Amino acid sequence: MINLTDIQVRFAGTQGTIEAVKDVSLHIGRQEIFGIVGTSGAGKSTLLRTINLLERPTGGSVIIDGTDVTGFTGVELRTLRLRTGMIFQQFNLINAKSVFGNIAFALKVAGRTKDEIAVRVPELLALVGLTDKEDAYPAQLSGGQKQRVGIARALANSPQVLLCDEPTSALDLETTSSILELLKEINQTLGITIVIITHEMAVVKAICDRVAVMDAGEIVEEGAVYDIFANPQHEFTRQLVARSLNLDLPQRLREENGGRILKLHYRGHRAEEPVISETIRRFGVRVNILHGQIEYIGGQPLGALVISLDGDPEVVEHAALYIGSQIAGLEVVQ
Amino acid sequence: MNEAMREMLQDLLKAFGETFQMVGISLTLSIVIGIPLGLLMYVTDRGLFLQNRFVNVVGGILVNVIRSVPFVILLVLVLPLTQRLVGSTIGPAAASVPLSIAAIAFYARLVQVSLCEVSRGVIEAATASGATPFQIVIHVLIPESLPGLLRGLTVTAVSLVGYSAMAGIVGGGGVGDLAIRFGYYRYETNVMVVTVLLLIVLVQAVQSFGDSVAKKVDRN
Ligand SMILES: Nc1ncnc2c1ncn2[C@@H]1O[C@H](COP(=O)(O)OP(=O)(O)OP(=O)(O)O)[C@@H](O)[C@H]1O
Ligand SMILES: [Mg+2]
Repeated sequence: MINLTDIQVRFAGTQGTIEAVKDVSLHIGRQEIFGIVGTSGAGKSTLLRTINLLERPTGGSVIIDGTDVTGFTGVELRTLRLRTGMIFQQFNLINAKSVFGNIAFALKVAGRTKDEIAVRVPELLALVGLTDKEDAYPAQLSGGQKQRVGIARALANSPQVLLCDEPTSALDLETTSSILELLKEINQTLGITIVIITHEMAVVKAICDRVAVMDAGEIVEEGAVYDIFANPQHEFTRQLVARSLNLDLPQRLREENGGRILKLHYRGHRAEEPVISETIRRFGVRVNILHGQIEYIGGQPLGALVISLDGDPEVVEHAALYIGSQIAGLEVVQ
Repeated sequence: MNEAMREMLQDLLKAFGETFQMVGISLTLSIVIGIPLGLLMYVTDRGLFLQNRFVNVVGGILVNVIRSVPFVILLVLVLPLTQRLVGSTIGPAAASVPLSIAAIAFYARLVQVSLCEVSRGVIEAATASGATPFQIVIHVLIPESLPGLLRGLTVTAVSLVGYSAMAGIVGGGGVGDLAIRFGYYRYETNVMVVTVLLLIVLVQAVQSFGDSVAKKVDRN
């Protein structure tokens, strides 16, 4: 669907040139939800903007559906943009126009007639759940509602691709999840490929199929979301993942607990096996759960449990060995 | 006494008529020429969709040159042009030539400033929708900056009332001319006071009207 090869973007700045994107190659499949994560200034927006040529790469090529679009200008470029929707962190609605007017503008650009627009706008508003807001102005809408208008506008001309530049970063948690749900629904019902930038790993977990991790203009890691979380390879990815799974024990707990403290890592199907009850039954040790978090990414469990084992030291060692053989990873904390 | 009052009223009516004529012509030309000029300077700026350094710099310099010449000097400088365009250098129509030139330059700058207030993100969203530069100007830039454009027009109108009085000194007629003739040369202070009071009322009315229209179109 979208093939980026050796994309490079340089900006001539006051203090020399800035290399915002360095030789990035990416393949984004049809109907996929593809995430791009990274810290501020990593070059995520710049990379995303090369897909609809808001930013023309200084090197490399953008290939969409087998066509090299990198050099597109004029009518060709505008046609490409009609087929590529985009939504933004700050929504970027025309404040002087009503909700209807904002969506109608995108349709007018595509050369639709007044009658066609009058039919299409209500359809789009129904799709994003804003039927009653047709005549409202952006200033009268909440952030979540503004983003829904943004989505309706982006989908006006039935694009195949939707580019999202931090679409939920200006929204609270609850609104974020409702917008993410809407995006997922759009992906599934309309079969639109979605590329989404975010700096929140939670967003990736919630809707992405695959993700690329960007740091200082480069993609340092790329893969299925579950794999990235379960097996982060690059140091930078590890930090990102660790931040979303914090299992540090308070010092007091460690001091008060004389026995073994173990951290059990759960990955894949093995999380469903009753390891702990089996350990208690076989070895007769006392198990105490101190901390833990297990979540499901794309239906697969991922997480860790911190437990203490108490009992005869020799039996405890045997129990620990047994646990290690039953789960994806075991870490001895103390 | 009654006769004098009638005469003064007639003089006043004529003077205000001339002032309206001068301000009207110049304001119309500011809209017709100043808005496109301001737009041109804006869209040719760095990083915008019709980036063109040459047009941008030349436009900017031209506007600045006109704005930095004191109006009284501009009046005299454009006399040959006035003669050619109007066929005379006296009267409200003739005075409208330098007034229009000054007003166009002044308003073009205000237009540019209002346009700069339009969020780049909104322009970018329109570009990403596949809009042409013309569509962006008509459907994004002008509606988004309309309150600012109207406020700028009000400021221009008020300044024009003042400048038109100056134009009156060199034979343009209008309210300024009246005030000088009666108040300064003939020591009829009461005429001058009435004139000035009327001017204050006029400026106040223009300002309030402009503000209320701008407020009405402002959707923020
Ligand atoms: N038009 C521009 N001119 C000059 N430098 C730019 C321009 N756009 C971006 N940059 C620089 O390129 C780098 C990458 O910017 P970019 O906006 O792509 O980062 P980002 O990953 O999207 O960050 P954020 O999470 O803050 O949005 C930054 O160093 C930025 O300063
Ligand atoms: Mg960004």
